[in-house]
Amino acid sequence: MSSGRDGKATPTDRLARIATILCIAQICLFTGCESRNNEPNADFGEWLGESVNAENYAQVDGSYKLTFPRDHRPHNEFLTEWWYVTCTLATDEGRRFGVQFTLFRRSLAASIEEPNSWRSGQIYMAHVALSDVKNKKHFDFERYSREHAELAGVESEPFRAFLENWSLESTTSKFFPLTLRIKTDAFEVDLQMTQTKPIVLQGDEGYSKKSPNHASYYYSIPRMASTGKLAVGSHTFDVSGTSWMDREWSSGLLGRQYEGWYWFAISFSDGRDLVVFSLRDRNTGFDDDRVALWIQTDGSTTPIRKDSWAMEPLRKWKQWPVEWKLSIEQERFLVSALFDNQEMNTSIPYWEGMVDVLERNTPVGSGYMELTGYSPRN
Amino acid sequence: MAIQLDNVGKRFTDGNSDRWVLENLSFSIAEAESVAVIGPSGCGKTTLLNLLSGQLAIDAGTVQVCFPGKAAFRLNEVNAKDLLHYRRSDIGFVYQFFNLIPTLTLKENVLLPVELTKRKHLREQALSRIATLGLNDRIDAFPEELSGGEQQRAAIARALAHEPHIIFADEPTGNLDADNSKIVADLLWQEVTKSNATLVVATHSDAILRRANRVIDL
Amino acid sequence: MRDLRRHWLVTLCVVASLALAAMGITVVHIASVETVRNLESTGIRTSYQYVVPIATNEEKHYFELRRDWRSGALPTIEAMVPILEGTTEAEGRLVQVLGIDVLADTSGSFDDSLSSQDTGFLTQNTLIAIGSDWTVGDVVNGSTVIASTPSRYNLFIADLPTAQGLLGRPGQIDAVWMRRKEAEKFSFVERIWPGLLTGLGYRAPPLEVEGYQIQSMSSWNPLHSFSGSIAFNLSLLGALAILVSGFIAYEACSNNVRRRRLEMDRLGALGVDQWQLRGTFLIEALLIGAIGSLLGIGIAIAFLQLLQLVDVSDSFNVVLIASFKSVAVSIGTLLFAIHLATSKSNNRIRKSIYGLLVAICLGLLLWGAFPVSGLLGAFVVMVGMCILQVLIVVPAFVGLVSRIGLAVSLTRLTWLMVLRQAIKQFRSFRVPVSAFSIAIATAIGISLMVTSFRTNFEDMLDVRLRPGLHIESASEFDTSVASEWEAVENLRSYYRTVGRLAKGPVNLTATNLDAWETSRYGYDSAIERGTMINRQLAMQHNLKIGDALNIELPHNRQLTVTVVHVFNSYGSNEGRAIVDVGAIDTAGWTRDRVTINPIAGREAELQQRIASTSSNAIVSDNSERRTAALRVFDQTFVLTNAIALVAVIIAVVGLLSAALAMYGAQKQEFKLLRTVGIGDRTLVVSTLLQSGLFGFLACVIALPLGISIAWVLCEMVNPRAFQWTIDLHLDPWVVLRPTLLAFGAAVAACLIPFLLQRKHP
Repeated sequence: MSSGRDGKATPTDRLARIATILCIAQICLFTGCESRNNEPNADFGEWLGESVNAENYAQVDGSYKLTFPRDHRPHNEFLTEWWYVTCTLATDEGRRFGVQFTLFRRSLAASIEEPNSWRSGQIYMAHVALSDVKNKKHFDFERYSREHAELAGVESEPFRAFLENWSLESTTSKFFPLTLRIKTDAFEVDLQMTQTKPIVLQGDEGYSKKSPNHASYYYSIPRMASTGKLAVGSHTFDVSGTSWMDREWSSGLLGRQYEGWYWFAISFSDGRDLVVFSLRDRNTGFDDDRVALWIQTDGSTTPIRKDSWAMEPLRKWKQWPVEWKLSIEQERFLVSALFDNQEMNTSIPYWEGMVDVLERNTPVGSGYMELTGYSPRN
Repeated sequence: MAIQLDNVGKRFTDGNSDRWVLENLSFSIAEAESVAVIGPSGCGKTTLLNLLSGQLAIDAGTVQVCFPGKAAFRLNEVNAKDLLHYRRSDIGFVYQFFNLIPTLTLKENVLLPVELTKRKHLREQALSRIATLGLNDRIDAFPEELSGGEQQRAAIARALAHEPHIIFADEPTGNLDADNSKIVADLLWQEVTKSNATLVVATHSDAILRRANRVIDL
Repeated sequence: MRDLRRHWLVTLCVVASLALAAMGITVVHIASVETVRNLESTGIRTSYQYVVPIATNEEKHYFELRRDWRSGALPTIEAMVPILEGTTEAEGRLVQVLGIDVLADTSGSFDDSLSSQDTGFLTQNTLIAIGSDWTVGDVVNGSTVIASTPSRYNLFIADLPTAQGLLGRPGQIDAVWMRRKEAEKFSFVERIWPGLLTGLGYRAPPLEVEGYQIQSMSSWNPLHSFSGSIAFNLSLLGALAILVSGFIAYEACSNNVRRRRLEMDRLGALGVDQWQLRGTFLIEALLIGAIGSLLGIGIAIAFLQLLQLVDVSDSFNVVLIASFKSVAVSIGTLLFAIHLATSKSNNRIRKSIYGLLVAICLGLLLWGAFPVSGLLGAFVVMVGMCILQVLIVVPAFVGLVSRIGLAVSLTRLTWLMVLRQAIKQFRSFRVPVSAFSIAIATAIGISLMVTSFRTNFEDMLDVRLRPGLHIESASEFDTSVASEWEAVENLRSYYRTVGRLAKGPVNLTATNLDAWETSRYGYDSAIERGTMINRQLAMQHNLKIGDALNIELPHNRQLTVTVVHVFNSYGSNEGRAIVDVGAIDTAGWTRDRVTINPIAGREAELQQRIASTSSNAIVSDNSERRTAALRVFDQTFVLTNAIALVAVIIAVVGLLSAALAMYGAQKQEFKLLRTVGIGDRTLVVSTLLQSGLFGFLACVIALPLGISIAWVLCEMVNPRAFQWTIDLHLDPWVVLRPTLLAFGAAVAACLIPFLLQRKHP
C-alpha cells in the first residue's frame, strides 16, 4: 500500500504496518516479539526476545506426547508453528532444482473478541522458493493472510496446509501421499511425496530443548520420495528426488542472547540422513546445546555427541557462510552451496538453499542449509 | 573679453586617489575670437570645453564670462537657474559624435534651441541655415537616417540656431572622413564668422588650426 | 563576473525575479501537497485504481475473484482487498465506516512505533478514527478507538469483521478494490507535480475480465479528483508566474548579451571560440539561477513555517521536492533564455519558428475549447492566450501606438520629443511589456474570478442559509418535544445516509421538500417523488432533469427517484441528492441535522434550551455560519491571490531590470539634453510622462487578456475541475484595483533609473 502523496503516514500506512509487523513476527516464529529491531537485516535473536504474554499460551514442557496423524494438525494453543518442506530434485538428464515451502502460523492473542470466519486470531505467512542450479537463479516469494477457510490455514482431515494457491495436502484420507502445489509468476510446482522413513522425533521424543529455558515440539520426516512437474518460465520439467519436512511449534523458543542459527538437513547416498543445527550466541558465536543427529537407513536415530562433531565456516558470500567443513568423529565433509545466491529476500532476509556434501572431493550427499541472523556486520 | 580663466583646475577621483586633469590654467578669449585648443590625447581638451560650457564644476580657480550688455559672472558662482540659462541661451555645442536627439528630425533638432530660448524670430534664419548647409532635402529625416557629415552639419546648425555668444566644438571633424572634414570645417567657420560668435574648438585638424586666430596648447 | 558586479542593480533584479519565481514554485508545491493531504480523509483509496462492486454482497465473489487472480486471470493486478462501506451513528452524527481486510494487501514496511495495541485491530472490535472528535480509548457502538487522525471528515476504518459487526452485515462485502502493478510510477509523478494526473484526466487503463464489472476508482473517489484539481489549479497559476519570470530572465539575458556584444566580438576576433564565449554566460546563469532559487526557497520555507502551514522536519521530502523543482525551473529558465539570447539564427528561421508557434497556439486553443480536453485543455487555453499575447497582441499594439505616436504633430518640440521618447521606450521594452501585461492580466483574471465566485457563493448562502438555528450531531435531539416549545416557530429534520449508484457513491439527504425547502435550492415548488441533485452528481454520472436514479441504500434497500432539479453547491465535488422524507423508510438513515426558526427575539433562549437538552448537539446561528463560510472562502483564496501578486511583483522587478539596463544610455541622453538647455524640471516631467504613458499602455494591453483569463477560469477551469459553474461579474473596481497597483509600480520602476542618474550625473 502506498503512503499519502507527501510520504507522510496515513491510516493506510498504519494498517500496512500493522499487518506487516505481525507477519514479520512469523519469521521469528518463536516468542512474542515485544522487543523490536526494525533493521531489515535484524538478527533473529533481537527479534525474538522473551514474550511477555507467552504465559497465556500452552508451554512446551516435555509432558506432551506426540502422536500421528493427530500432530500434523495446527496447535493453536501454542504461539507459533510451522510446516516446512524442502525438496532436492533433478530431471532424468541431471538438471537440478531445489524447492522450499514454509507455512508459518502465529497466534495474535490468546483470547479473541467475537471469533468468526474472518477473525480466528491466527495469521499465516508463507515462503516459497525455487533454486535453478544450472542457471544459478533463485526465485523467492512471500505472502500473508489471516486464517480463513477460503484463504489460509491448516486442516487436519484430510491434511491441508495452504495459503491461497500454495498448498501441501494429503491426496487421500491418510497423511501420505502428500502433494505440494505452488503457483507463482516465476515458477510452478506440482510434486507428490511418499514416506520412505519413519517420522523422527527430535530431541527427547519430540521435546527439543533450545536453551535452558526454551524449547519446542519438533519432528521431521526425512527423505520423502518425490516426483512431479516443475515449470520455470515457459519450460516444464519432470523431476524426481527427495524431500524433507520439519514441523515445529512453541510458545517460547529463543533467549535474547541468540541472534540466529544454522541448520542442515542432508541425505547421504548411502541411505543415511543427517540433521545438524546450532543456535548462535551473539557474543560467543556458538551454542552448547547444538544438535547433530544421524537418521539411519532403517529410520533409527543416533545422536552425535557434541564434542565429536563440529561445523567450521570456510567461505562467505556477503554475510552468509556458504561453504563449511563438517567434522563428525573421523569423517570430514565439505558442505557447499550449489550456488551462492539462494538468499530469501523476504521481510527478514535469511539464506535457504541447496547444498552438496563432498567427502574427499567425492559427492556423497545433498540437502538444504538454512542460515538466519547473520547480519551484514558479521 | 568673453572668457577669462584664472588658475583653473579640474580633478577627477580615480578610486581612492585624485587626478588633476587641468591645473593652473590661465588665459583669456576675446569676443568673436576663434581659439583652437590642442594637446595630446588625455590632456584635458574635452574637460576644458565642458568646464567652459558649464557642464562640469570647476575645482580650482575661476572662469569669468562676459557678454556685451550683460554683467560679467563667474561660472563657479552662479546658481543653477543662471547656469541653465547660460547653457541654453549663451552657448552652442558641437560634439565629435554629433549627439543629435534621436527622436527628433533634423529640422526639429535644429529648431529645438530656438524653442527653448523662446527666440521665435530666429526660426526662419535657422531654417535658411539648414538650406545653406545643404540639408534641405533631409529636413524630415531622423538622425539614424543621416550620414556622418549630414549629422555634423545639422549639429552645427543646431548650435547656431539661437545665436549664442560662444560656440564650443569638441573635435567636430574627428569622426569624419577627409572630404567631409573639410566641408564641415569650412561651414563651421563660415557660419561662426557670419554670426560673429566666439569659437573655442578642440581639434587635431590642420584645416581648423589654420583658420584659428589663436592656438592654446595644453 | 565583473560585469555582473558592475551592473549589480540589474543583476539584483534578475536574482530577485528568479527568487520570486522560485518562491512561488515552492509555496505552490508545498501548499498543493498540504491541501491534498487535508482534503483527503484517507490515503487508502488513492492506493487502488479499480473497483469491482459486488452487487449481491456475497463474500464468495471476492474469493472467486481472488482465486482467478492467483491463477493468472488478472496479470496487471498487484493486489486486491475486500471492502465493506456504510454509515453508523456515533455521538449524534453520521459517520462513514470503511471495513477492509488489511492482511489481504501487505506491501508496507517496518514501523518502530508499533505497539502491542495494534494486534487488537485484528483480534478485537477496534477502530481507527479519522476526524477531530475522537480520541484513543473512545468506545463507539461497542468498538474501541485505537488510533485517531485529525481531519475535517468523519470516518472509521475497521478490520473487515469489525465493520461487518458494526454495520450489522455479517458475511457481506460491497466491493473489491484492486491495485495495478506499476502504480508506484504514477504516484512518483504526483509527488513531483501534485494534481498533474487529475489535470491530465488520467485514469487507469480500462480492465475487462469476463464475469466481473471492473470500474475505475476515479468515479468512486471524488475527493481525490477534487483535491487533485485544486493542486493542479494552484500549479497552473504558479506556471503563469514562471512564465512571467521567464520573460524577465530572457530580457535580462538579452540586455546582458547586447551590452557585451562588442566585447564578445573582439574576443571572437582574437580566436576565442563561440562555446567558450557562451560558456561565460552559462556560468553566470548558473550562478544567478542558483542564488536566486535558493533565496526564493529559503524565503518560501520561512514564510510557510512562520504561518505554521508546514513543518519542515515533518514534511522534509515534500520540501526537498519543492526545492528541487524551484532550482531546476529557475536555472532551466535562465539557461534557455541565455541560449535564445546568444543564438544566431537568421530572420527566415526566426519567422518560421514564430509562425509555427502561432499555429501551435491557435491549434491548442481550439483543442482546449472542447470540454473533452478536460482540465488540461483549460490550462492550455490560458497559457496559449498568454503566448499569443506575446507573439501577436503586444507587437500589434506596440506597432499601432508607434504609428499613431509618430503621426502626432505637436508645436512644442519638447513635448514632441517626450512623446516620441516614450514610444521608443515602449517599443524597446516589448518583452517586459509582454511579461507585465501577462502579470497584470493574471491578477485581473484571478481577482475577477474570485470576486465573481464570491458573489455567486454569497447569493447561494443567502438562499441556503436563511435566518435560524442549525443543529448538528442532533440524532439524540428530541424533535417532537422541541416542536412544542413556544419559542419555536418552525422545525425541520434532515436525514442522511450514503447510497451507491452504478458508478459511484452519492450523499443522500431526506427532508420535507415543501416549497420553502426547495426554494433554498432554486426550485419553486414542492417535490414528493423526485429528487434534486447537485451539479457535481449530474456531471459525474451524466444526469439531467427527467433521468431516473436507482440508488442502492444500506441494508439492501433500493430507492428509485426522478431528477427534477439540478442545483449548485460549492466546497467539494461529492455528489449529493435530496429526496422527500415521505418517499423513504427512515430506518437506516441518520437524522443528525435539524434547523429551527425561532420566534423573533428568542434565539438565545432557544440555544440555551437546546444545549441543555442534548449534550452532543452543536447549535449555531445561520448568520454565524454564513460569516464563517465566507471567512473560509476568503482564506481559501489567499494563496491564489498571493500568486497573482507575486506575478505582478516579478513583472515590476523585470521592468526595473530593463529600465536599469537602459540606465547607461539614458544617462548619456540626459547629459545631452541638459547641454542643449533642457532643465531638470522638464526632464522630471518628461520621465514621469514617459513612465505614465508606458504604464498606461501596458495596463491597456492587459485588460482584454485579464478579462479573457477570468472568463476561462469561470467557464472552463472551474466546471471541468470541480463541476461548479461561476457567473462572471465584471466589477470595474475589481479590474481597476490590480491595474492601478501595477500602473503605480510600473511608473516607479521606470523612474528609479532617472533618479539614480540624477544622483550620479
